[in-house]
Amino acid sequence: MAASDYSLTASEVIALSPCEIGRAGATITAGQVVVDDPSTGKLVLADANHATAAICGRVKGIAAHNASDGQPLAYVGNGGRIRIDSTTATGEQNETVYLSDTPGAMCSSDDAKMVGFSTVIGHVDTAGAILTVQIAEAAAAYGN
Amino acid sequence: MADITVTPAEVIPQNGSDVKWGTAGEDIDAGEFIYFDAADNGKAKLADANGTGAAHTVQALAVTTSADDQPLGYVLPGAEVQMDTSAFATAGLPVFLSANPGKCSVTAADYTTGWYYNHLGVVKAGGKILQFGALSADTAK
Repeated sequence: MAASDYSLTASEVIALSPCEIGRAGATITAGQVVVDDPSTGKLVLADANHATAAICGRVKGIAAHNASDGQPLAYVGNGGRIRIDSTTATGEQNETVYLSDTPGAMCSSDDAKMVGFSTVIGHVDTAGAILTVQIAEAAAAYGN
Repeated sequence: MADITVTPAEVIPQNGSDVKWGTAGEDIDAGEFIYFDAADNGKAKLADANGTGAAHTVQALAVTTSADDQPLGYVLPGAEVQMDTSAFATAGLPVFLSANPGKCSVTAADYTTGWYYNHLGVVKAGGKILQFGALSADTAK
């Protein structure tokens, strides 16, 4: 796996806008991207090249705390802001952030990790620290 | 006091138990007992049977694992929560707050001078589920 997924510290991830609420369907860590699993209605890790296409296109937002299967999960959805405080999200102001092919992870556009469904998660609005969530999904997969 | 070992990932609020949301004021694990600190914007912190001020009065039970300033899901007394620990295998067992922040025990005899009794509910038959019902003394032993 490429080395350039954003590296996050879960305890440093802080929601800066009101959260939406769902239920975790897997172990999820603060700062991971979650999708709605239509088969269970629970939130699981997003993955740009997930084997189940239906899961690729249902990104809901970014987890705001840790949760295990069956526990409630608050996440920052579309239009929200979240401090990700990543040391690797060093990009510039307004750098676009994409869903990675590593489950739950995000990457920048130059990482060659944007395989499968290219999903924009948002953009960095203060370099390295704060992400504005603005989800845009590709209609079809490419690459990989 | 022998604290009960709770695995945070196994803590699941049961159907019909209303999950409410606040903000963690320190690192809190699912299954830990909390109070809300009025002196710190009402943030949730770990309750403690020999804690000072509001800290020795349990108000809620955390059902998410959250770091300082992250959203925290919790249930209020009246809720039922799967704790899934072998210490909760006996139905009807009463549960008490420990003097270790956030933790619980089934040994009331451990309460010693200066501690505040906090009865946290009883173990429900089957499933290692806590019927959460906090009752806190306002006077130390």
